[in-house]
Amino acid sequence: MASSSSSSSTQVKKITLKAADGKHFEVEEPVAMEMETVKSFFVGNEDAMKDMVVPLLNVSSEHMPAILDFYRNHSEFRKRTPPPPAEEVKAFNEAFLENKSDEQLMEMIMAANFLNTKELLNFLTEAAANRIKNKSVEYVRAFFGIENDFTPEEEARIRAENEWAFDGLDED
Amino acid sequence: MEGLSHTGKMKKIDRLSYLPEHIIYHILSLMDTKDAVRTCVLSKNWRYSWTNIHSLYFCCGSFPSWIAFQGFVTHVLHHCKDLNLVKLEFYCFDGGLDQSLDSNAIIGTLTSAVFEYAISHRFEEIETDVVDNFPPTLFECQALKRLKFDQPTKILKELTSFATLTTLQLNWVEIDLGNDTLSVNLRISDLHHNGLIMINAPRLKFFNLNRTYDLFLWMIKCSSLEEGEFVFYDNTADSETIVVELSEAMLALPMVPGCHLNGLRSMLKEIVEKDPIVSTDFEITWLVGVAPNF
Repeated sequence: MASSSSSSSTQVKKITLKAADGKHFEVEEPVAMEMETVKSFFVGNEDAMKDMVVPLLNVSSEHMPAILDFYRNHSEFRKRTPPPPAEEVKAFNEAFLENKSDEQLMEMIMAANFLNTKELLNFLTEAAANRIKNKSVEYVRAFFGIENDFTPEEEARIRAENEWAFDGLDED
Repeated sequence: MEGLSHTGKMKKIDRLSYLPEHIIYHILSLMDTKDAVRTCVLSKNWRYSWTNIHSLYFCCGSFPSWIAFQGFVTHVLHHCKDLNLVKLEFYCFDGGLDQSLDSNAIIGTLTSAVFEYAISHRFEEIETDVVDNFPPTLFECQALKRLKFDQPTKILKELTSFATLTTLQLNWVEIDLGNDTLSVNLRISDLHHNGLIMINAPRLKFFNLNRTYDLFLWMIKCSSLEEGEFVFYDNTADSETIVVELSEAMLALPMVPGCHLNGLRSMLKEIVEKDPIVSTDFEITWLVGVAPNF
């Protein structure tokens, strides 16, 4: 355990990220490098490190603390030996989503997509899919805030084209 | 409710239409395919979105009849875009619909159609409770990485030539592997098997045996084995099986390469004879580094 030699906690490099609304976040380098978008910012430009502020145009500062928290915890889970029990990871993930509205979830998906981090994106899209599974068409429309631009006749025709998907369904 | 009007937050937005298409398709791919297809009536933008899904989840339990299930599956296979398939889940025995001679015929037809589609679209993962009527080409499929079978009544015999498979998971499936060579992570659970399982798998890295009945497990030439996990049912059969001696015991065995499980058997027996009451979370971790030939 003591062999993690150079982890002198005094010398963790920090990188400054700037959210869409201008707010700055100081982030430990390994955490920042979880984001492909940040990583590619420095490619071929390594000496620019540290001093540069990385602008994250599509990420609002509202979600930054939660997102960074996700990276910190999940990279710790990955490194730990033996690996953490599944319940621990599950508990963290559930707590992460608790109190997040559908709209916040969508915004975070967009942020994760922009930051290009597969793990977070997979986790959030899975959560979105879970929220709408087994739900009626009306519910899913409301969930996404979609305006129905079909006429009733058109909608009836499309339902008929895909009749097997609507068969035996109780619309609520 | 209008009192909540936090500036323009109440305005209607098609939130997902802000998302790149590939994310929309990905979300639809994670859902039961029936739910995904039903998004065709959400709006004009959504009408054909579902045809871009990369995974298929067919489960007869959510249909009112076999005819409806068959109609749906056929419709989907016919309309999906010609994309590589990541994952297929195909469940025909999940208790939703009654089984009959007619249903068996439908299941047979669907199995061929679904698997042929999956193979030609280079699928990587499959979970199914169908264990026969596979097209023979399944076993030559070079993209398949993960295979999970769930079916209480079938015996699985063929497990050969999966060159790319990394995980094989068997729930409630009897297996008769003979000397088939596996190069996968093998997870077996709820195995109804009385007798011998012989696993000859020089490339097997991880073996998990979960809740099985009487079993004499013989792992030969598993020289790549790095980890084995064993969880057994309580049972009272003869002493030939490791199961008896380790009733309800859970082992975590980080094994050294070349370690033979049949060689471990006598050691395990000794432990249990000394202390017949084996605790439920009996853990043996001291086997690390044990020489293979004892």
